[in-house]
Amino acid sequence: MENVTKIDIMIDTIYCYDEITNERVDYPLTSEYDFFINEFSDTQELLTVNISDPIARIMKFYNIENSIPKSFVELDYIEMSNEQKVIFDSFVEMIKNK
Amino acid sequence: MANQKIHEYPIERFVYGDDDYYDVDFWDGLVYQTAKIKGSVIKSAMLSGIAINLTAPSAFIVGGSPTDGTGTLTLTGAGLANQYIRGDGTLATFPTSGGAGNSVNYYLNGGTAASVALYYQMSKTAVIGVGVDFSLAGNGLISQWLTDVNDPNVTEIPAGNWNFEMYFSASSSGGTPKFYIELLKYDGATFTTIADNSANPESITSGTAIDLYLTSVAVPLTALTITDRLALRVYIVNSVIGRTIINHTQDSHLCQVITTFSSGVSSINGLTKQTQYLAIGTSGTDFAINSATDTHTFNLPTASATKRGALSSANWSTFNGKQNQITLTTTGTGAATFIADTLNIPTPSAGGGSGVFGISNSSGVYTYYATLTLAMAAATSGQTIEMFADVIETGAVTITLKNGVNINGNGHTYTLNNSGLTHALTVANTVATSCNINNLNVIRTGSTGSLFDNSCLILGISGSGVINCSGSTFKNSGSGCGILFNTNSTHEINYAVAYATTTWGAIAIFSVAGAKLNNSIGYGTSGGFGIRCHNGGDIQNCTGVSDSGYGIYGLAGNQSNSVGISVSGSGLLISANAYNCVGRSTSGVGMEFTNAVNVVGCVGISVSGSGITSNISLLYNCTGISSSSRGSQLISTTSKVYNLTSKSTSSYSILANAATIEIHNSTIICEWNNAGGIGISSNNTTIPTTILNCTFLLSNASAPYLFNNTNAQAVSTRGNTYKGGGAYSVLITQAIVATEDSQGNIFL
Repeated sequence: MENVTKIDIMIDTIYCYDEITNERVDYPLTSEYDFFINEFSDTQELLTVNISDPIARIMKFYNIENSIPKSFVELDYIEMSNEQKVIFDSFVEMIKNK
Repeated sequence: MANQKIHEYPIERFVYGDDDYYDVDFWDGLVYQTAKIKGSVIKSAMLSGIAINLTAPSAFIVGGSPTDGTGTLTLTGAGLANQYIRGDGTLATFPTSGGAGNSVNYYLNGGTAASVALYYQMSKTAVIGVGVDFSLAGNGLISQWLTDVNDPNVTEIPAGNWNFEMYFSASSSGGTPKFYIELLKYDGATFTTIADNSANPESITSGTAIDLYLTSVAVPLTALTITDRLALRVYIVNSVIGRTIINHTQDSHLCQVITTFSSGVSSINGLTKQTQYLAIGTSGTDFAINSATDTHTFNLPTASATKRGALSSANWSTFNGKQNQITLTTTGTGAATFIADTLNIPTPSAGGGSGVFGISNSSGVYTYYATLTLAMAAATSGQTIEMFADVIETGAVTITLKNGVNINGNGHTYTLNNSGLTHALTVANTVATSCNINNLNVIRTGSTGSLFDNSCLILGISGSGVINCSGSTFKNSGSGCGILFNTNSTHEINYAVAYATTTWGAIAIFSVAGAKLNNSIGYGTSGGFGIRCHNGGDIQNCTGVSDSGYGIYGLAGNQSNSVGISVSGSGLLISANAYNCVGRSTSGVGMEFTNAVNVVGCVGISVSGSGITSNISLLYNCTGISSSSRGSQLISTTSKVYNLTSKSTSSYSILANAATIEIHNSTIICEWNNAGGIGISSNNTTIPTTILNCTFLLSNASAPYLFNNTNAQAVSTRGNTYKGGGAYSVLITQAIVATEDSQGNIFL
């Protein structure tokens, strides 16, 4: 999805959004994304990748009830290690090229 | 010699007829007499004065003492049944043994050497073979015997007599040779004496003749180790030099030892005591025999919830008082009865028929029908068709509801499994049909038809009426809807629950206006929508749920007090009017407005999507909340919001990207402590030019309240309150040029 602005990962599905047009494309979370999952995923219910808006980052949300998470963590791109940045960029690139 | 009579012949025989007698003369000391002897008198006379006597050993009792030829001499045993007569004519008592079974006998097998030198085998098995003799001149040990290894294999010798049957002879008669026996135990190294009868040796009385002699040894209770063996030593005493005593064994002279051991059972339940006891008890949780030392305790617990055992008397009474097996009958009419263990539930017979669908008359008497079609055909307004079992129809069967005819499914399921284009339940076009469908599960499956082809319940074109569906569900696992309002249907559906996988919705309203859906829930799975108002209709107090589609898809109509929920899709879409609704999503947009005319009091919430997204819509008193995206997204040229509350936790509060968008009296909250935590931002170079009477609450001092990237733009801002953030972009200037009039009004 070339125009993706936000990527959400829940359970076994990748949800890709263009937030301005509300267009959405879903992909199964297959083993080809293990490099990304192994690096960034843990016990979160929702993992969100903001590609640039408002900033490039990863957010993980825990214990979501009635669309409100009990807690979340934010990892901004600029705070990532070089290795994490490579992984982040590779993942976003893969999604955009799908 | 006076008075003397002398016959010519001292003895004369006289025969007169039948008389035959003798006259015998005899001298009585004074005179001669003549005795007339006739018959038995002759015998009496001959036996007179003769007495017969008998002496016998003590084992016998002599009775009677015949005299003068009369009387009986008797000889009877003096002992008891458990005694026998020894060779010397005295009585001896048979040995007794403790425990069950017969006494154990040993034989002295003179032809078999024992494992110890000079000893011979003492065995429970006799060797007959040929005779083997043991001789001794003079006095002393004549023979000695030893049991085999592991014989007797017991741990004690019961007290009592051991009797010995021994064969002896002597080389010459005379004298008073005797023998006695010593009993010993042998532990493999040492012989230990247990008992002997040397104080009372038995005489060998028959001289040179081989004879059987019996003797006994009183043996005390003696402990043995299990490996102890038994030995006998036979001694000769009172013999003389020059006389040889011979102890004969085998062949016809089997020497035998009768012990106090018991044959037969040697061990019971692991106990080897020869004397063992039985006892009873109630310990344990099941019947068991517990054997210890010399006692076997039969433990039979009293039965309980945790114990298997004997039934107590009280419990027996309890069980005996239980209800007997019940026989079920279905004869007669009237109330059910229970008599003599027979439960009779009368079969309603007045209406007749058979089947799982029943209609009762005013008296409560049912008429049964095999199919819902038949039941519906027979039912009249005011009646209720009851269902008494699950039903699966596979034909192209559709049931047309009748006005006033209710259905009570009693929790059962009516399934239409057919690949054709058939609805399970149909409400006819153009007519009014009101009824109740209660406690019925309707399943439509097997069809892949299009929207108007295969619903669980379709409400006919231009039809009307109220259908209450309390406790009922409508589940379409094929391609159709659960409940479908057809064109111009003005039906009202209450309390329904529907499931479907189609984006047309579990509950789909394709009526332009007048259709009503109240207090109902639509579940869309596999991307299906929960509730879809496609052309119109009003939904009130409804909930639409979807996994990845829209919870409620309100393309038209009015949605009030309803909730749309989705995981990855939008919770609720409003394209007309919405009042007091809530849209929730996890990763999609909470509430989405497109061309909405009136949106009042609605709330959109999302985790990673926008709380609300408005496109050419008017929003009043609404709220948009997002955790990681903007609380509100205003993306059309004509969107206007009044009294909006917009909050974002980790993005800018409002995204608005057109100059014609207006924001009035709103509260703009951004909790993101980041320079990007902007109040109102644009994804292009334009932000709304009308931002009036708003309150900005930001969390980062560097975050601008308004931000439009690099474009120079004049914005009408008045009456706003700013807190927590930074200044505007320097490119944004004030657009208000008019000053207030004398009444304080501002002209924009």
